[in-house]
Amino acid sequence: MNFRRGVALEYEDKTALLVGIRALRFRGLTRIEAYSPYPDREIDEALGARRSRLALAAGIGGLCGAVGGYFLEWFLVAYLYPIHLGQRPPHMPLAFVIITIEMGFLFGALAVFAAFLVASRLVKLWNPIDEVPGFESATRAGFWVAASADDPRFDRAAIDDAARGSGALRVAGFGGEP
Amino acid sequence: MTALAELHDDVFGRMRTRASTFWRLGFTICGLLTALLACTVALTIGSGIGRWGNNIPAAWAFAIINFVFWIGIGHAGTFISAILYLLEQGSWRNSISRLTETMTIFAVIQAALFPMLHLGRPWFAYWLFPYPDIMGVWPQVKSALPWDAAAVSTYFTVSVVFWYVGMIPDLASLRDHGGPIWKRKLFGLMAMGWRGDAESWRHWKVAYLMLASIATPLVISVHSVVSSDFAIGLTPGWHSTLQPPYFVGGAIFSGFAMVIVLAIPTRHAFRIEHVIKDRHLDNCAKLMLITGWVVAYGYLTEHFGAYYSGDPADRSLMFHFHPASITFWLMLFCNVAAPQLLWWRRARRTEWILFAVSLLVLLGMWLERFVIIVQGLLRDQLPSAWSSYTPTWVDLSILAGTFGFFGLLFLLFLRFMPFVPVSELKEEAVVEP
Repeated sequence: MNFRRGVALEYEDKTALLVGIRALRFRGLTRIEAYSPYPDREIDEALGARRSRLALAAGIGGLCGAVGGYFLEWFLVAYLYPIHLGQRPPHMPLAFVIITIEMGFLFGALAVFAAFLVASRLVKLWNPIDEVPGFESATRAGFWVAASADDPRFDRAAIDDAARGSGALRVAGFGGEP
Repeated sequence: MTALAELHDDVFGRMRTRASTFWRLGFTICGLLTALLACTVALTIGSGIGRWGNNIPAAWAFAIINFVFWIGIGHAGTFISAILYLLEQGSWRNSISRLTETMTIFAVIQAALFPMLHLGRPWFAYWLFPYPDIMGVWPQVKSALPWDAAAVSTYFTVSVVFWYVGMIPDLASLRDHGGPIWKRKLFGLMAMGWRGDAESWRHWKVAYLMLASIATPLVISVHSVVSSDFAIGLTPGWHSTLQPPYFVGGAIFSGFAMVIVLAIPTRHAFRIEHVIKDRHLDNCAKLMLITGWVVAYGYLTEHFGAYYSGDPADRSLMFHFHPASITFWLMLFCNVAAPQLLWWRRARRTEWILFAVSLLVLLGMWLERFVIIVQGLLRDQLPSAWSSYTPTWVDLSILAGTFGFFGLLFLLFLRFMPFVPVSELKEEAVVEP
């Protein structure tokens, strides 16, 4: 999740980041997001995040691909243009299986990819948080947490207080935060 | 500086080194071979596949040998990146997974070239796919050719998606840290605005896991489909239920050989022996030994089947002298005898021995396809149809050219892209400090 405006806090390592996230949540903030150089389950737990449901996309995409593939095979060679080849019946499930499976794999993978782009809100090349000085460390070894200014409980003074208490390395506003 | 920052700077710093003499030399050789490939492909398209040594009965010959060889090479890449990921072998899989995924994609590109050219009129290759045309003729899905088209194109697409999704966090690192501005802009476009937020990471993890779960049965299915092209034919030595496991085992076997052949020079050229460690090569060698035995068991079963079935054509093929028998014995030496050296830890840990054995395995697996395809076709049920086969210089040039083109793509990738999955190494470094 990327916010239009808010405050970003940088921490030295994951342990400090977890303290920072808890400090912000303790102050009632709910619209917060962490940034780290690698995926981490403890960060997700501290944020109280829900599990990703992308597996559903794989299932639905794969099923649609397989059913669509089988239907197309039947439609083309059994219905539209049936040819008798060595006494094999026009509708021959055994021969249709391979393309059915392959189409299941293909559409399952493409569905996961598309769902990943949508769910992660990718293909947005710029976001206000990119303007925070030093934010690029998130893709190297830095740990950041951002609080959205659209949060009903957003209070800059309380965030500065939480930052001091949790040992943040730097605090910076972005997107013209109040 | 934290340990993570050190890891990041070290690995990316090494990947950004200037082109070495070694790289330039490789690039020149591969470039020349690629030019040869372009010329011979143009010649083939311009004047037809009569330029090749193919004849009747040896109608498949070099094109299909090379197709099966290259598609097999790709298998170890998916095996390492997908199957070992699901089996939680991250501690040795991570550092070589990007290299091997890349190898897969570039190998499938070489493989796809051959059936396309073998069609005779490659500009009609799109007829293999069901598109609404005014002729009203559709692909015949009861034939093995559309199976291959579906399997190979699916394999290529899924491999590219898997490779790209895995690379997004590293592309974002390259966008954010160092390098000329045009490169950073390009990496920025490719990273699609990745920032490493926890929500994206959660989806990334699941997407990667799902793609690995799809790629795992896919890699088994692809060579099984390729083997079905053979198994549904009545040619001696082909018509057997042995083919799918035999082909898949052989594919992974040759793929590991190629992984070792690529990883050893790469780790020296970029001085990343501490990233791609001896232990990783050792594990690849062990898997090569195991899959080598699967292949050896395949040879044994094939011959037992021919003996036990009493089929005269099968028996004649397997047990009688053949003008090209030398290829069979050479294949046995390369694929069965040579890998036995890998029982010794010292051989697995001595790079030149490992490298030499891997080259022999690559040669052996190419010869295996030669034995299956050419010898089977030349000795079918009708002795009056027996014939001989000799490849032409165009056949040999195209084969050499694909090695050059594969090498060229691989060298370009090493030079410009993140060939070590640094974000996965960071995660591993935190879990296992």
